Amino acid sequence: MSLHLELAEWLATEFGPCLDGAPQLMQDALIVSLTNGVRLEVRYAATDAYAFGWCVDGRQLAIDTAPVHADLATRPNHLHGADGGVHADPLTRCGADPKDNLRALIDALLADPLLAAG
Amino acid sequence: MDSFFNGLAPEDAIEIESLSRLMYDLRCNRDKVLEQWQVPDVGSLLARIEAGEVAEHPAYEHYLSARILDETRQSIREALARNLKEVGR
Repeated sequence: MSLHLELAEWLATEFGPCLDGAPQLMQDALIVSLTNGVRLEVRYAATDAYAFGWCVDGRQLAIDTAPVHADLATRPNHLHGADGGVHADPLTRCGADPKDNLRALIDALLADPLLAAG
Repeated sequence: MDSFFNGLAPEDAIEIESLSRLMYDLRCNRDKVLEQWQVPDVGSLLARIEAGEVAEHPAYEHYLSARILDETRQSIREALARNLKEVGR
């Protein structure tokens, strides 16, 4: 939770005007609401163990590091896309600074929550 | 248990009690997460995910949750130890 606490404080500073309220700290997750209606659930256990999940127009998208898609170029991190398929992760990098990953994701979600344009 | 708090300043006693309760809640919540998957620890849950014995989702989110709950409990344990040392317990 100390990492989540650090990320929550950083998000409020870096993305304040784009947030719909302060990030919510749960015992096991960080909930971030964006002004465009996206509700993002963040679970960051380590730089190589994380999951981001969000819902748009009834479709559930996610990026996570579950080590189960050996055929993807970005293994272990991958995207569960709006089409229901599993794809290489276009945004985050396993092992990177959590703030860099979160920044890349939120910038993308603010521009296009379905990540369809990319 | 009452005697443990005897002689402590009220604010110290409240903080120690609060941290102890939080540690207990974190452990209970970690246990509930793992019980759903019938595994004794987070490593076993990850192994089941890797082996394809359980669906990736929500198992992986639960794996991360259990790790975060464990690591948070460890942080609280260290904070509690510092507090107890400061008040001479």
